[in-house]
Amino acid sequence: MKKIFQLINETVLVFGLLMLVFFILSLAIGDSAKDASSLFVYGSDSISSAAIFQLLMLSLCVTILNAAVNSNFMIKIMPRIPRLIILFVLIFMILVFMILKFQWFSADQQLPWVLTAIAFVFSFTASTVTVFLKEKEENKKMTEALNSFQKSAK
Amino acid sequence: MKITINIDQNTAETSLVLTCRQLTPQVEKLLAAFRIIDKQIAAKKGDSVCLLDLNEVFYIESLERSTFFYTANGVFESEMKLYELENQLAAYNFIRVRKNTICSLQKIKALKAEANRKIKITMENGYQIIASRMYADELRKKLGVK
Repeated sequence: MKKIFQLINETVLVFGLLMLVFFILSLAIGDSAKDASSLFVYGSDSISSAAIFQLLMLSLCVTILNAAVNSNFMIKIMPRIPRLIILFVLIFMILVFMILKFQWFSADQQLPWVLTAIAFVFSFTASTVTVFLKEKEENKKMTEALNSFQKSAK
Repeated sequence: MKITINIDQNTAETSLVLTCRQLTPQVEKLLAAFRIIDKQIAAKKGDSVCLLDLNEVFYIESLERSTFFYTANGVFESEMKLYELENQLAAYNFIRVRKNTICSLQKIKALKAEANRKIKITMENGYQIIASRMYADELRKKLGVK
């Protein structure tokens, strides 16, 4: 039960972030993209309930994939970098599936694909590098704290 | 239960004599509490019962209503519950790192921050324990990094 609440909590967090990005995007390019994308059918006025539901599904998929790839079992059997690569590929595959399934934009348009790929790679890389730097600092602090704790306890 | 305390200035070593009809689980728990003061704990290996030095224990795991002590000399079984051990061993730098695991901070070889605020703990015997988010935060607090 606790894990389900944790999953809901994380899904809502991802969904909130996605909605914020789409709110900004719809204000910026909503009117010009409303004929080309099902996500912006109402232009800069609002986001459709169908789009909101699709973004919620995407958030749920991302959260489930993240939980699975970073499960205790996976942490034990696989180093961090291969897990990140797997997560990157799986989320990208889900994204492509949803673009095609819900016709977020036409499959034969090159520019939206390129922009989506750039945005995805950039956001994934930026968040990964940030987390890595934070964890590197934390690892250093924990190692120092453990060493001094062990010395003082002897 | 009758308790008699003899204070004798000439006694070389403090000793405890316990008289009972039989070794009940209650008496065992009482004995265990006294042994822990001496950093020892009774545990079974096969049919024989032996006294384990707490400094030898890497981690303690609860599996299917049994509690196991993992040491360099093998695995030992105890009748005690994990929550009882958690309380009694807290003073000896044992900490809960998972729902079913307590580990000795003295026997940790390395700590590594993981995704979702978990911590990968590598023990001196090479065994790896993944501390879940809640217990990882407790570990951080204990080490003073949070």
